[in-house]
Amino acid sequence: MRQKQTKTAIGGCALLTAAACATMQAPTTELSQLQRDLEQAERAGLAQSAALELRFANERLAGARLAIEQHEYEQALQLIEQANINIELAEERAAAADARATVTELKRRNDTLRRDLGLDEDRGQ
Amino acid sequence: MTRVITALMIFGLAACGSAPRKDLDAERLTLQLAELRGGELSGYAPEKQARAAQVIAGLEQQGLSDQQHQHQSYIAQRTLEIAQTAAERERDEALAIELESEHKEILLQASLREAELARQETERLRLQSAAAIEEAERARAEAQAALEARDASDRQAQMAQQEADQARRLAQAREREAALARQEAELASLAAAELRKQLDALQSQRTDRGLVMTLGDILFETGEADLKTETLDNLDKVLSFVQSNPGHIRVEGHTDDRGSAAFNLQLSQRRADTVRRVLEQQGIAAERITAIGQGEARPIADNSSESGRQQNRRVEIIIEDPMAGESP
Repeated sequence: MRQKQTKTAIGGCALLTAAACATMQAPTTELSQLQRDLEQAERAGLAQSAALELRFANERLAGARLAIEQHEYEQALQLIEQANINIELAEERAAAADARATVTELKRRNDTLRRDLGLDEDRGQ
Repeated sequence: MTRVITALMIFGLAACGSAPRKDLDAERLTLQLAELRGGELSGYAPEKQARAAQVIAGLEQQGLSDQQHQHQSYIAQRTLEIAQTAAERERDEALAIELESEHKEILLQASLREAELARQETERLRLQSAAAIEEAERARAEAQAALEARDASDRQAQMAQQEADQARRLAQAREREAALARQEAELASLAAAELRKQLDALQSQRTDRGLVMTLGDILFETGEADLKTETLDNLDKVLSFVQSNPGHIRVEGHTDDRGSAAFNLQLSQRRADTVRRVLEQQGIAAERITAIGQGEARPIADNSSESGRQQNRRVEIIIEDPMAGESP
């Protein structure tokens, strides 16, 4: 998949000839920003609730590095963008998992309370 | 110039090679977005949904290379997932707020119910205490009644005792009375026996004055001129004496020397009169009888002793000898 993408990207870039590639700078700033964001996300424990998204982001980080080495800057930028949106999704998933856990806990607490107080009959499911 | 040509070349290739797949991605994502917006999460994370819609719409734009389209599709896919996840999160956050207020509601209900239970418990205790007070009052009343009953029975017992005492005293009094009556009766019967003995023993004696029968003092009521009833009922001897002997009857009354001589004279005369009257009532002719009171003048015994005085208190019935008067 990535292999094919890369090939396609290279192909695309080749088709664009010097025009696009020559004018672009290597996105090293974006790359190092991505690296920092990823490290921070991992420190924040997102690997537990959104392991898949973080793995995608890491793969794209690696791909972006490779693309930069090969001077495929546009592809590198796309990969960085993909990595970033995976991090964003990972954060969103973590927050959603927290909210879900909170809801589950609150439901459990209310159910327990109702049961302990014998109020089950008063309210529906 | 070169760029335009190149771009046209790329566009031409892309258009020819990827047009069907492009549509497929866009269609799939548009469908997914429509589901999100039309479903239960429609109202949540609106700005993220809008962003996803924008990115997905961007897929429709012309002039993207195959790779660019693939990239944009990926980004669109992820953006839609972010919108979806954010909507779920927001829904859960709203749900959490709801659950929190539900929690408060449960606690409120619990405290209301607790208050109700406490109220019921208080009411129960109040009733219980009222019942206890009532019970105590009843017990007190019962104790009071028992006390009163005991007093009453004491009083009754006391009254019964008094009655018994009274009855006993009455019985004693009656016994005494009966004893007295018995004694009296005994005395009376003794007196009657004495009287009868005297009446039975009445005998006449021949003296120089004639035949004399002496009626003792006992035959008269004490201190009176009247004869006792028993005497009147037993006059057979006296009557047969006066009927079987002819001659004038001289009745003489005598007393002892106690009291005044005048009283004694009068009493002796009245006793003599009584005897004369009795004899007349029995059919003896009045002209045959003379009654004379002699008082204390002619005693036959010594007046210094009781037995002597008793002998002196007497009435003599004398039938005079007709010959005695004729012979000088």
